[in-house]
Amino acid sequence: MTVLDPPTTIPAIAARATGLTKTYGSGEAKVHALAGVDLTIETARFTAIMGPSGSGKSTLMHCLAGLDQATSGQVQVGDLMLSSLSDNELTRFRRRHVGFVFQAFNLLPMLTAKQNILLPLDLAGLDPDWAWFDELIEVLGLGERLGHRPSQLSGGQQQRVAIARALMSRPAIVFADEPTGNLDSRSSAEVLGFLRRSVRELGQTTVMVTHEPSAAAYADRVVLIADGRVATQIDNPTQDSILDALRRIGG
Amino acid sequence: MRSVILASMRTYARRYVAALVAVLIATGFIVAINVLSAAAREGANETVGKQYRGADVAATDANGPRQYAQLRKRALADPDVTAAAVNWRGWTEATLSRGAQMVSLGSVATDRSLRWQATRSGRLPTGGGEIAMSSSWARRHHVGLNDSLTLDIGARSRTFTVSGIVDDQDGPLRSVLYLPERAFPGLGDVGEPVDEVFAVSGDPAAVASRLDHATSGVSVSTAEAYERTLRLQATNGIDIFQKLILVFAAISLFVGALVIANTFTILLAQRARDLALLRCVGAVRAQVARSVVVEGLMIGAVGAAAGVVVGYLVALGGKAAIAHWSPSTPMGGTSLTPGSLLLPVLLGIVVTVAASYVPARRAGAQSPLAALQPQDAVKVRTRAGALRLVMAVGFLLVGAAGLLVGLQSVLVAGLVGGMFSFVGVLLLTPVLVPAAIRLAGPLARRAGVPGRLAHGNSLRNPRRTAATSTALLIGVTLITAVVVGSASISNKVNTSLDDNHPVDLIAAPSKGALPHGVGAKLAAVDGVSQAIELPGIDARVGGQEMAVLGVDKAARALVRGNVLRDLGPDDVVVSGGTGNVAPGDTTTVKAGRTIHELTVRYAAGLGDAAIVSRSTLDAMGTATTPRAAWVRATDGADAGAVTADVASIAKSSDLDLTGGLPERADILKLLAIVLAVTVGFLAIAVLIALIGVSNTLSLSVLERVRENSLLRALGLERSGLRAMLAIEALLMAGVSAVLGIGLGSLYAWFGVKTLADGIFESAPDLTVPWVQVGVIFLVAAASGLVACVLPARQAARIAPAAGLVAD
Ligand SMILES: Nc1ncnc2c1ncn2[C@@H]1O[C@H](COP(=O)(O)OP(=O)(O)O)[C@@H](O)[C@H]1O
Ligand SMILES: [Mg+2]
Repeated sequence: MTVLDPPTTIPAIAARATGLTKTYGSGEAKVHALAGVDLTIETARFTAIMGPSGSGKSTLMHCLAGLDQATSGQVQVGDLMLSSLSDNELTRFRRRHVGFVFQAFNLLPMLTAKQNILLPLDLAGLDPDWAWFDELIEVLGLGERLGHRPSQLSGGQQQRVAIARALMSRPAIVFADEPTGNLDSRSSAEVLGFLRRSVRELGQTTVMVTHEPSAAAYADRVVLIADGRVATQIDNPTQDSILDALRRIGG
Repeated sequence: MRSVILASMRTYARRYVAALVAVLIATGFIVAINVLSAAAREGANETVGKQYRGADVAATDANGPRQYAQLRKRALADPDVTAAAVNWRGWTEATLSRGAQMVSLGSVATDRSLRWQATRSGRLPTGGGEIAMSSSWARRHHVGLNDSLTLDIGARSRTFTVSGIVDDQDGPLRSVLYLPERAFPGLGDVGEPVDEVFAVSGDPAAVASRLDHATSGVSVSTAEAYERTLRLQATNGIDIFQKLILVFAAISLFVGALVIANTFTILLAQRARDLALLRCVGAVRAQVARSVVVEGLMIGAVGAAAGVVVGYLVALGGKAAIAHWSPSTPMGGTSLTPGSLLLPVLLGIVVTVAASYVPARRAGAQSPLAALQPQDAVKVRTRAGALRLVMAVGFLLVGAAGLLVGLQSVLVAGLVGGMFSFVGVLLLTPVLVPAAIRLAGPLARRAGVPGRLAHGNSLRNPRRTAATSTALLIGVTLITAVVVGSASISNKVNTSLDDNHPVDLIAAPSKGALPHGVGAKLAAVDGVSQAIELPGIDARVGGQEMAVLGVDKAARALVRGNVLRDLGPDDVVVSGGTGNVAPGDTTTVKAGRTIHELTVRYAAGLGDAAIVSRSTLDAMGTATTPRAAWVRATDGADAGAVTADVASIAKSSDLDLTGGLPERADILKLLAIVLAVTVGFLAIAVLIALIGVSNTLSLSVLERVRENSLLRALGLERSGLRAMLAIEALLMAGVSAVLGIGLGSLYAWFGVKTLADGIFESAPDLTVPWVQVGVIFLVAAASGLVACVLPARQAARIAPAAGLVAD
């Protein structure tokens, strides 16, 4: 299995951010999207990042996933320091170690569901593990839809295709940015349920950004972000404990 | 990655059409030109070959018939030489029922193996009183087999019997009448030998060198080598013409490249989010860039292949047209050599790939985050980057240097300079076009809310506006340059012809008066619009004896151009080479007992006599007699026929004939061909530009489905939206048209100066044909409008709700 690095190189800490800051613009218009974030993401756990709109959740996720460079501070994923990587190295890192599920526009419109799922492997020039592919398709219930294009799929189906793509390369971490933001409650429950199953049954480290307490309640731990900082963390959260914490930082 | 490329090409096929057509046209043009000119060259080659069919060795440059005769004797003594013949050419006058006519004479070899004429009926002449004639001439003058024909030979006339009619055959030895070779020495100075050819049984090269050594002053070579030099003389014109056309081809390839690059830029801006998503899930920069280049490669290959097919078909059509309209032009086969096929295909592919390279690099540099932003945030950089500016300035400087070097008649430098500077201008469009649009703001605001929105829209994203305008700018610049350039050149050709040959034909005796009735005879010639006898008097001009002619109103009207327009009573016009008077000097003209002090002016092409106004001549005395006849041909008359007819009248009256009619006709014919090619080229340019414009405009409208829907949701009516898009299109089209017309005129100036150097004594001025330029402006504006009709209708039809959620 060349897709996955040997588990020994991934310690119990899957990713770590230290003193992470990110500023946009300059002068009057300067925005501190992240104002010094220290955070660890544990292996084989489901972490939810929560916070009010504009608090820096997406920015944090982009920095952790190597999609964006932080202004200062360190991001370590596995035993790699992301700030030391070139653009091409970062891209290869994403290809091999990171899976993504976004809120919308997850899939290339001109490719079929199957082509979309296999795209990262295709880009890396790697042969897919067909047994794993079949298992994912089976579990996600996509068997009938493989030949369809995104425009022919419902929102929930599109997100399931995106999850299949994220898991296909057995990444070290899956990042999901508001994956249920565009979905009705039934589809949301389905998608969240599957993300949690992949953590529980496959040991897939997963980080999900969301602003819905009901979605965050699926996670093992919730990290609350406010004004670009980690406000608090809740282990084994329930909807109530999350709402409590939100009220506290909000008031 | 292959699946991504194939899938996106399938999905976006429609958007590649413009690029594809640009490649197709550019390669097709080159192929058509190549095939046609190769056919013309082959045709010219064949004609030479046919007339030296049996010859193995040829001799030329001998000093008169006697030396050719000696050479023949010596050659026939050589055991390897089996036959010899001298080719003769001559001119004489044939008496026909309609009057005398100048005709060309050629010779028929005594030895059958060296005869090249093909008889259509009868047989080739052998005896002393026999003659053959070309079929077209026989038909035109209603002369048939066994008729008799009287020729003017020396002072006598001799009658011949027509023994055969031969095919018209183009080439250096082509004549109207053919006499046996043997007959020529008895014809006096009517004919003279051109060359001598030999049939050889052994190695021609050995025989040629033997003969060459044996005779001095004669150059003997193998017939093959001799034909090659003749061929070069015959095809030189075609090669020059081909060079000119290849310049056009280079420009059309360049324009094709610009259109392709522009199409790709817009195409990729459209797909920015797709490409960013690819980067998110792990495509490295090089992969994204490579995928775009592969798309370019495929478009280039398909477009170039189609271009070869279309170009070949066009060449076939062109050949058929030439055969129909100009049957005497020899054309060879339209064969495709591997070189003439591969080169354009390769060029097409290389240009396409090169044109897609920059947009591909830019696409690869796209940040993966762009995929995650809402669509409106996907901004193509709004300010012209500093690097872009620096590059633009660099290109402009290099281009300007090239253009300036080009002025020293270095065509390649001029061409490259033009291309570089144009790329520089295009790089500046994101600054230039919005600035110009800003100026047009007050105009747009008149159109109310849609006008204000349109003005704002076209300023909001300078890059998008620039990309859209670029297509039109390219087209308008090109068309203006061609229109203004060809107008300037044709104007210059006409004025310089008028200056050098103000009178079509001048018949004058070397001394004394014109015989009675010449003017009336000349005026009666078919194709002569006016013939005037000019009165004159013998005089001393600045110490030199010459005739002085007086021109009245009628004579001035016959003269082309302005050389005599402001001839005053105190002026005398002499040809530049006469006497030792300079223009502006005063000189003394003594005629009879009168003495006049007149100001000297120079003019070419008016004969040897000095020219004064009629009133001045009348003041010189009453003893004037007609001294010269000036002839003006009807425009469009067959110059050769008119000249021949006038020449025979002049000859019968023992007059000297001068004048620029034949030269004028030749040059105007060439000019007409060049203009025809230019018009064809223009049509192609218009096509490329129109496709580019409609493509870019429709893309830029579709790109904004969301914001247009928002406008509709907020209360803009359907018609308002359409008006807004139309005004936007008009604004961009108008601004690009104005910029393009300015630029095009500038390029025309450089082009004319560069091309015309060495052809004309003084460089031509820029002639701007305002009507045509006005038409260009209107067409450009209209094409912008037309190109936006469809997308605007489409945009207006989308329900606001549907557009708002569209991704
Ligand atoms: N590309 C950008 N340019 C400027 N400001 C940005 C950019 N992206 C995000 N921001 C700002 O950074 C802050 C955090 O944004 P984000 O991480 O998207 O918040 P969240 O995802 O928590 O809603 C916000 O104030 C946002 O306006
Ligand atoms: Mg967000």
